[in-house]
Amino acid sequence: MDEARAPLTYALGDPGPLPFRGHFRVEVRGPGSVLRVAGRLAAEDSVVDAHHAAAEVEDALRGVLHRAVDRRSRHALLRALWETLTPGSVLRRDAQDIGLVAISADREGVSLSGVGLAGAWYGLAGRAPRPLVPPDHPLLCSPLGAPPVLPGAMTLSVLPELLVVEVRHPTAPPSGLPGGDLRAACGVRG
Amino acid sequence: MSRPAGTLPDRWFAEVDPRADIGAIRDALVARVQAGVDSEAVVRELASRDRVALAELFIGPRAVGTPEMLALALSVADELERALSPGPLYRRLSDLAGDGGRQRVLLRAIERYPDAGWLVPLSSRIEGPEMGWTHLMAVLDRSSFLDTCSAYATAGARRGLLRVAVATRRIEPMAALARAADERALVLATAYLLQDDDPPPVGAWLAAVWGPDPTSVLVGALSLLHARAPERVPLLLEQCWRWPRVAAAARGLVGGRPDPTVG
Repeated sequence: MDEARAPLTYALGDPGPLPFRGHFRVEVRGPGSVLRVAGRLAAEDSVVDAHHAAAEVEDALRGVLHRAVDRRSRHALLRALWETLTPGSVLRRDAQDIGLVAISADREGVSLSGVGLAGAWYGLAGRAPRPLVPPDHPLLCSPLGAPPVLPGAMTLSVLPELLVVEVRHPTAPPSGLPGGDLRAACGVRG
Repeated sequence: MSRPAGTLPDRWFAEVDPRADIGAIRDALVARVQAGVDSEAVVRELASRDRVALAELFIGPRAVGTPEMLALALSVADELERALSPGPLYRRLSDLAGDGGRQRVLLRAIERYPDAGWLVPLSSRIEGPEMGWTHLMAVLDRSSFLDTCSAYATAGARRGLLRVAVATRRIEPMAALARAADERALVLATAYLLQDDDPPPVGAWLAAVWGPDPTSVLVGALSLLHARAPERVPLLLEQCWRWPRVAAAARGLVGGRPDPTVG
């Protein structure tokens, strides 16, 4: 690959009247690399507290590029991402209820990592989204919370246009991929 | 206590046949309420004998929709609800009431059933484009307020929700507009709310209801504020530090250059 290309990466909104409480979405671009992150934390905090928590995570993740050992390497970006979320590292708050997906791309390929995910789907042009991995895949088996050890990453052999995840909820069961406008369900407008 | 001339005593109502004499009862009641005689007890006694006749009196085809009769009907709404379910009942009463009395019908319906879904179409019939205003202002403190706002947003209410948001500085109407994916209404609501001296946390709520990046809404509100109340722009920026493109758009406005990356 000449240019780093990564799928658009979104997290589905949660059921209820405040579907994006605590949701965050960040894109960081390096020299020949790109990192896209979508997720949620503080799902049961007040709207204002969840907003501040999500803003803090976004702010911290925008700094990943500066903390990466090699800003051109997708693997280095992912490592820097997880180190950012390590308790006591950058975040002031405890990210014990965080769930996210991170897509990292460089000129060599695209890697994906995540924590606290209940589902993941990919979309190709003109086709309905399909499950990215089977339900028992390790990507979908971790609980919410910043992981104590560096999570694994999977390499995508095909580059989808879109990646959508459902982040686990602290109390509500997973609801799966909704019908209707998928972008709107992820809080993507326009 | 003396009885006004031309009105019948309570005992007359106790002795008549509610169905056979319904025309006479109606005339007698109309005369009493027009004379200002309290007739609620009389009507309740009638209801205890024949609820269907009571319904015939107040909501039947020959029901009289004067303000006095309407007030009497609303005072015994609990009895009428035993003859007809509340939604159709209050709709019928609003039809009988005419322009002058419909608001009273709506208020009584809200008082009795603050969370009922049928209040939405009733409000639409009575308040038109301002639908939701009376109901929402009456249920501000209920835990169901957000759900009620959403019901109005789904039914197409815009002006009523905006008016409530501005009058109360409450965010729930905005959340409801977001669920209805009405970006223009959200822009207006955001701009209005930020014109308050002590604005609510609009940015945080937008993020919770619209999506983690509500930049397009905030930039729309920024443009409105810049044109109408530029002194409020710093308040908006204070709430929107999380979204750097809003500040960039503000700098562009000051410099006369709109941010081309924001739709």
